Amino acid sequence: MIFHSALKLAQAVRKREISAEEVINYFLRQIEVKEAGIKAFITVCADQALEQAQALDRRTDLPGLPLAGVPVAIKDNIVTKGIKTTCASRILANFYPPYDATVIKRLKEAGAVIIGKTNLDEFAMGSSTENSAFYPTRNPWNLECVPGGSSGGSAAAVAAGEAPLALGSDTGGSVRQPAAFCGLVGLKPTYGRVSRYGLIAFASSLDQIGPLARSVEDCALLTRVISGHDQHDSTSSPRSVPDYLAELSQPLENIKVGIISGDLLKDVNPEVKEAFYFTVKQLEEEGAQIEELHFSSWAIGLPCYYIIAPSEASSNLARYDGVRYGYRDLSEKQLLSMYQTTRTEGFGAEVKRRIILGTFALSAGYYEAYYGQASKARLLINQEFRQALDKVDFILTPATPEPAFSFGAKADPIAMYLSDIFTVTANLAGVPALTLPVRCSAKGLPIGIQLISDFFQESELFRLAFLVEKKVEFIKEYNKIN
Amino acid sequence: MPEKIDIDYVCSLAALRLSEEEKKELAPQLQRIVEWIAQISSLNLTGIKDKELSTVSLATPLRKDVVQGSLSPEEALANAPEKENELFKVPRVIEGGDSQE
Amino acid sequence: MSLDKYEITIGLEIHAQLLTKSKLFCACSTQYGETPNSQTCPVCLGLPGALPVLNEEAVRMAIKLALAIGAKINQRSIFARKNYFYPDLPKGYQITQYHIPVAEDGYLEIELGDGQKKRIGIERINLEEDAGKSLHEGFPDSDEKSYIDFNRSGVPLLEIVGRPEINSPDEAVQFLQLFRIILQYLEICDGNMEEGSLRCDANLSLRPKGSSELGTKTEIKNLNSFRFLQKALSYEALRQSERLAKGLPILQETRLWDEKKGQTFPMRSKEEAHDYRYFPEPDLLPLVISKELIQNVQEALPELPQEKKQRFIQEYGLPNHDAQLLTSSRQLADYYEAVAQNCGLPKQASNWVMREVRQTLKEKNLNIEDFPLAPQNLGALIQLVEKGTLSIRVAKEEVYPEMLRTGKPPQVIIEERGLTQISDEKQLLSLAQEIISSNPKPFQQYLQGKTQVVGFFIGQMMKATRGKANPQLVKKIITEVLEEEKRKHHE
Repeated sequence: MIFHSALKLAQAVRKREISAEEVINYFLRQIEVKEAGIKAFITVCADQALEQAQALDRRTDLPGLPLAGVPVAIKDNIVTKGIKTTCASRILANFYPPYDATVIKRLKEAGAVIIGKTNLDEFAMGSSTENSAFYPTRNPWNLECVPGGSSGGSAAAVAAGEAPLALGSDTGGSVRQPAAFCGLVGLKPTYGRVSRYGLIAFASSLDQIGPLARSVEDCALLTRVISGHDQHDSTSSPRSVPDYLAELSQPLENIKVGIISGDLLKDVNPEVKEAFYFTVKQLEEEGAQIEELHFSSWAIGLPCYYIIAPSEASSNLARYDGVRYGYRDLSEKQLLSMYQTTRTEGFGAEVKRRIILGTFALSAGYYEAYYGQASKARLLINQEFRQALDKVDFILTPATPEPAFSFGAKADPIAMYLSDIFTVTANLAGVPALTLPVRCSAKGLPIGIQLISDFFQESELFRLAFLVEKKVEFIKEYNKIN
Repeated sequence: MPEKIDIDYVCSLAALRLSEEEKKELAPQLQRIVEWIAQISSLNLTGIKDKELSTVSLATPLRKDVVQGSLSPEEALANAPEKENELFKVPRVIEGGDSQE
Repeated sequence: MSLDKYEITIGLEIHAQLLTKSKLFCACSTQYGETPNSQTCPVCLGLPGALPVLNEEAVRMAIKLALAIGAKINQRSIFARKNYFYPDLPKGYQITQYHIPVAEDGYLEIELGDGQKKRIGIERINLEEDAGKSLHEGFPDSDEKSYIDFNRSGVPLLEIVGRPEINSPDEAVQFLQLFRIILQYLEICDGNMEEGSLRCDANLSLRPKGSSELGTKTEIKNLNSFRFLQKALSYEALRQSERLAKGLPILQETRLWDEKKGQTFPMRSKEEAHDYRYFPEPDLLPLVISKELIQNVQEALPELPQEKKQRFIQEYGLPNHDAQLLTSSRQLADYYEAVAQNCGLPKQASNWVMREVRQTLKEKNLNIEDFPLAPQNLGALIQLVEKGTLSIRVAKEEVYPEMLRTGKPPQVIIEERGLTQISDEKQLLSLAQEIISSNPKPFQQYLQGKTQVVGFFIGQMMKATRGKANPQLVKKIITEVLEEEKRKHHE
């Protein structure tokens, strides 16, 4: 059962060929066996999950539930009512939210079962899950390597078969990069497609919740369930949500795929470059027209991102002041000292780095040169995306500059930031982007590619990914780790 | 030439207090990051107008003025580090007046 | 006196809590005075993951005020975050407006002592959220702890930034009074300064008369009554002038008013500079206000106090003073107008409302909305006096209090108590004869030419009729009968 798709599991539960309780028990055992090595979870909700599964089994309307009995692992920066939600931070180590995020409500309504809360880089700031305040998560393909981040726990859980599906969040690549490192399909939806209500904010104008799955079909299924308008999120789009799964079978015709120009690939790992051109060849074989794009603003994406994201984060993280919830240094008798020690002790080094950076970028005298200028650069990137996507239907890039790296390899913050070179631009522009594994490196680590499409063209993105998936047959690689 | 970041001032704005050791470690890192992101400030972007700056051109949705359920005081205070009599408790605020500015 | 050499410049900043049912960005109630922390939710507590959604009614109220003060409404305004730490500020930032406010560039016209009108400019109106309430006093451990109630957190506010175009504390008070009346007329703020639904900060500077450059200003916070505003500004102007006279500089600082000492004092300055790091609120899109919405609000806009006052002067022929007083509250004006229309006697109606009604409100500590007398009943009472059915004294001293007590129409009370004025001449004539014959001593005095005893006889008449007799008629009849008797006596 372990590598059965979520789609098939839900079908079996709907037909009562297997009970939801059996499914959950099965995955709880997988977690028990594998967690010691992987450490994907911060919290496993065994009792609540079993209760939820038993309640499902008693229901008479199972056939109407698209995710009947399917366990889903949730990144621990998405709030779950009554289930500890930590953001992998000391400052929220004992926080029990009094409400469910909109995506959690939607999952429950679709019959999914919340099986646990997964590890991440503290407040989703990082690309390796090494910034978790609790412990790092290991890559199931090679335990010496990072699973990527910040949704490293979610990616590792799905890759290890601890859950068939997971939710992550993507601010600059935090779903797509770990998906690529762990051999999964990961989507960052169009900004506004999935409600952010209940997603603990890192950078509000960039954050999107996104699915991680082993197949395009499962990814499409989960995306459909979590997408759609939410009256609690002012930035949520009222557009209707297509049936991504049903539309997978619709053919794509006269596809034009833009590929980023060679100069942007010069620092990319040779095996990644090879996998990228291998994908180009597959697409050509399918009749796609390939066109090289000159994307002049791509290179400024990263520095632009590292101004906007920390600026918003510095404000979003001001609420962790020890007053209403979370950690407080109770020994401090003065308000200002209480704030300072609470925050200094409660946040990890990377979070503090970004708060300082963002505070600086917004401070008097620097706002125009940093935040103001970055906002303009962002608009430039946006315009260039629009122009490119007028010419081509999709943009193809490598997902990451290299496959999963080993622990401690990126001690220098800027080196770590460069992991996001291909992913941040889609967040800045707001367009959807999906990563997909295409092959493994010589050392057996997955390598992914990224597909980007125009606003709200998730369906087209899934269809192209489905096409590539069938050609590259990456799923066979999973035999190596089982 | 990018500015030198005044860590003490920025930390005071962000309610952080770094130890001398932390400062020693963070300061050069931050300085390098600031130098790295400063390439943005040197771009010529005069063609882009301020009013276009919002990436979303839509209007913010409006909610009807209807009261719906609130949390109970117990729920509101459930995660509070210190509380008493349905109130959150903090070290005394010394400065006079109220926060409205 | 040193102040004579200087011109005072004052600018006011007003915060008005809006009378919406729910908060600005969430569906919690705005009701004042409930159990602490019983009106909060993830949004107004600033819980991780919560997001704001704007209240439509608050936007309509902002438009109302903008239209009432002739401000330009921005078709597209932007919410911004103002970042600072304070325990009653749950998110560590306040959602307000900065680069583009909802409206800008309006004005208010006040009337100076000499009847001249003066325009005071209003720079901008920001739509923003209130903070929670910090309680610093009254707990056993108040010397080391503060307590926070978040019920107020997220209540909608309009921040009104006035231009520094006010030149005296009196003008400032007048400006604030007029502003408060306008807010109440628009029914967007109850104007209750005690409960903090209307708050005022002021900045003041002095410059030598004739100088064109403004002096250094100080800001005085939390001037939450007209009296405090008047006293604090007067004190501050004097303090500054004394410093300037001594050649001392004015420090640009924030001060507070100490009512007990009767002076302003500098607020303990924050250790950090006021670097609020404003940036556009990414959780909200721009606020777009359509022409249709403005039109819609415009059509529902009530008559404003100045317009109403002019109309009262023209339509009802009221003196300026009456019109001013009656229009000082929309409810009072409405009540007056209902009475006036009911009795058709606008000046008499004005006298009654300005004296008796306001007296009663004051004595019983009532608002006009809770005044127990229906306007048609008060109108009927005024008519009864006018027709001579009731004497003004009986109306005021007997009928009116009874109406207040029972709520009954005046006709019923008159009938029940037999209070109708006696205007029957025959009846009064025989009564007069009776009284004269039973009071021979005063009559003798009258005969001796002491005409002032007429008053005594009138009093006796009134006493005998328990005040119901028409006083003019009594005077006429008693004089006639006395003269008649005098003639008889001399014959």
